[in-house]
Amino acid sequence: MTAIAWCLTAGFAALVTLGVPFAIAIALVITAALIVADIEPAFLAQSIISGSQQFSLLAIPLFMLAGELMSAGGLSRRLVDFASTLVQHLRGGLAMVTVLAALVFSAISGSAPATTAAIGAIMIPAMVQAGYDKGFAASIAVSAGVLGPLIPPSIAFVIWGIVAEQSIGRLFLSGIVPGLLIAAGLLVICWVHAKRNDVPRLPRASAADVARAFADGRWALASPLVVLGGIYGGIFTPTEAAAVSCLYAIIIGLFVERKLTLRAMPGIFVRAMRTSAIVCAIIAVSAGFGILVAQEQIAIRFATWMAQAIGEKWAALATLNIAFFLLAAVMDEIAIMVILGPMLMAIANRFGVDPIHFGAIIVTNVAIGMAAPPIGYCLFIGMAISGLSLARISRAIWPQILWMLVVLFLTTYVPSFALMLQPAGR
Amino acid sequence: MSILGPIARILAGATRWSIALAAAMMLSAILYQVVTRYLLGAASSWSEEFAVLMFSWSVLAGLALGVHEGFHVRLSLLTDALPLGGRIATERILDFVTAALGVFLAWSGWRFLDITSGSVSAAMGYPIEILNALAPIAGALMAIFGLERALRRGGALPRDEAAIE
Repeated sequence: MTAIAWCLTAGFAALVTLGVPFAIAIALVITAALIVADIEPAFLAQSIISGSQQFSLLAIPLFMLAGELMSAGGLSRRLVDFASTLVQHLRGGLAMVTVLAALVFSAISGSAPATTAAIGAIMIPAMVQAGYDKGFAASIAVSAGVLGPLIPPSIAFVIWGIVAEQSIGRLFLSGIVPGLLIAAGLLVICWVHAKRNDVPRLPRASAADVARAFADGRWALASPLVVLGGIYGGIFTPTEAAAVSCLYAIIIGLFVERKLTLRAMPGIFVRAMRTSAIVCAIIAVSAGFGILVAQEQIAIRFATWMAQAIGEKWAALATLNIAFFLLAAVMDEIAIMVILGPMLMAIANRFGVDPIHFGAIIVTNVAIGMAAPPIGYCLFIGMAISGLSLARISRAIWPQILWMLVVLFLTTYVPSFALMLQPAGR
Repeated sequence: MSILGPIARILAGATRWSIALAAAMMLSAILYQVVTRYLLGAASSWSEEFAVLMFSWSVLAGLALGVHEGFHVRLSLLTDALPLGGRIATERILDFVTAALGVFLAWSGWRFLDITSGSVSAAMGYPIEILNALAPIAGALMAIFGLERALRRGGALPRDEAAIE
């Protein structure tokens, strides 16, 4: 290996292990590579600036902002109320409300932690009050957050679309079936948990209650139509849809629900941009990393080596999934996508995996990593809301993680799950 | 060095609000783009470029602000396992390294600014220095924020842990 290759691989691993934040570690190894290879130092600044000059990336802060505005404007509460009237009388009904409300919220926000935060903040206390075990209540809110990146719109798919140079709209569609399968499994887990622990049921809502909740929630329920209808109706790009969804949330929050105030707005913007900066900083600094990796042909060499060592496509995909799951236990999922993206794409090309199908596999992995112990954004949010320890939530969440791994297996080996909703003629 | 704390706090406050403002401008520009395309029948020629410029600032400023607020994601398994004294020392070293990276980014950005000076942007025709100056500014902020953390009395542990002490 060349000196640059050493910096980018071993140097990066060493810095991250020592506790250097991912974004800083990437910039540091680029700097080291520039120094050892005597490359023009301006490369660092140039690559970070060009890494941030991509219109598609603007969807990330805007979808995060939309999620914050929807929560602050009371729209997530409306979704919960409507879902409640539909399933509260079933066994495990209140836990099912968490899943269903998260499913609709996922069609607005696109972020896993935002989904867990918006729905969990309302539902974890409500479930505990209704007699659910607190660990289970938190774990179901954490696992429902996984729907955020799978149901369109999705920040993870936006990032993968940029990394892999694939259509973001098509990638969005590839996550729907895996997302719905995970949601269905979570509903069954809610039912089994409630039956086993004999959690009391709530009375059935009357038709009038359902109608009233639907009327009250119509603006919240219509927002996925604005976002997804806009994108697939060919009216907006995903980035524009994110902006329109922010405007929608502001108008409904200010004038219809009247929960949003102008005074609260700067705080909401700062919060959303802080979360977005965590992700976008990693992406922007990774641009230079990607150029150096390409120049050193690290990705292609690794893919060639893997093809020789493994040979079979099914075994290569199994290896990738296992490696991703293990890596996600110690590394940020977004960083894995961005840093290893070129290598992952080289492997997919080498084995002839459809790029949209491959995107669905990657993002399903990313989504699971958000909830799987020991580290995951959704887990941290669940811990913060419930006040429970990581160990307590981890003990409760394993059935959900197991089901998600089954869905990952299906998504990997049944390509039609990811591809069945693709437009004809592709 | 006590002066560095208030300076860093003021700069961080200004950075925070500038990012929120950039987000608002970004949002407005994209909405304007949609409106001009559908209502006025002609897409705006500058909105996309302006929105992306605002985004670039939010990313670079966010990179620096993350150093001050300690919000960048990291793997802390190893540092968490150290005793308090060792942890503070490690954090201090990492903060010095981050400050050094800030200095390098500022220098790198300054060179890039120099190399590209005189060019203009593709659509709006704004001087490219406006965009390319963002890197040295972010580098300088990162250096100040990193140095301030490194020299903070008692070390700069992540917020929740600092609160426990």
